[in-house]
Amino acid sequence: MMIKDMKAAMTTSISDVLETMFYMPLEFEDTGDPESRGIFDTGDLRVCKLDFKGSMSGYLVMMIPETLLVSMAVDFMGEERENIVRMHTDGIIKEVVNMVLGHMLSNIDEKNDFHLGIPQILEDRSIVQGIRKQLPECCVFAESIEGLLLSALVLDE
Amino acid sequence: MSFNILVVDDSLPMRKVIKKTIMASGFAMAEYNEAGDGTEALAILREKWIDIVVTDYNMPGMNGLELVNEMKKDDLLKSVPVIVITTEGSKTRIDEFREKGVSGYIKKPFTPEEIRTVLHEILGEPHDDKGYESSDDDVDF
Repeated sequence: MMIKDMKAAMTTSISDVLETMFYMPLEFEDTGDPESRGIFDTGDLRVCKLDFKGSMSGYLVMMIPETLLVSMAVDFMGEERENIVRMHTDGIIKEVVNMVLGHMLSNIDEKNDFHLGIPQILEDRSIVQGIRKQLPECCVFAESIEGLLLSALVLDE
Repeated sequence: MSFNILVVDDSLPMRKVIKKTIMASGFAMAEYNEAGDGTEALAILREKWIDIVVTDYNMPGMNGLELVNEMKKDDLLKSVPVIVITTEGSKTRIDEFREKGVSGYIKKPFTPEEIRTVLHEILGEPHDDKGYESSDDDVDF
């Protein structure tokens, strides 16, 4: 599959998941825009990775600022902002990564089965630094009213 | 008629959303139960009368399909309807659900209407528009 088709599938998937379940309209950014890369300097950036295996294998990593995750948790769970704790935002980013990847892979290859791992929160920033240094080919920046998020698909060689 | 419902998902936010969605669907819940994985769910199923199970597929430990397999081995649990909620919507996976005797499946991302439709198919029309009255949660769908 062509990278541009995978990026299109990822964009559709992010849009479907965040608009359907979080009522969050998004605009998708040109990854060449240097301003978009400011996300890497976000102090409260949360990072979640999910491995997958199947007709192609690799992982999806998503980066979402904690402040945006708190707003998502408020909308998703119907809780007051002051009641949102780290366990909730960790649950939200894991759920988003799981839904985006599952939805994307189903759209790319509906006939074949993929095995998804369990989403992992990354405290180690080596993957972030690697992506910052060299953006993966299949990488999408999305802008919500409350901030940017980044999604990158890395395939095994 | 009101139902005892068991929601199984490792994600606390998702359990909360599923609960709210079921409540908003108008089904009367006699008792709401929840579990973080299949093992915990089985323990609840063996202890309490449950009318329907709504389970995530991809969970650490015992996943949703493994839970269904275990239930089918148990004479008291094999007829309890199970709805699987999954991000994985391949034909192979859906066929696997059907073969294992899953009563319904819902693909994420889902809308409240999709959950309501599947519940209607399995439980029939809701009789209580207020849902689970003893909960303090707001229902804002």
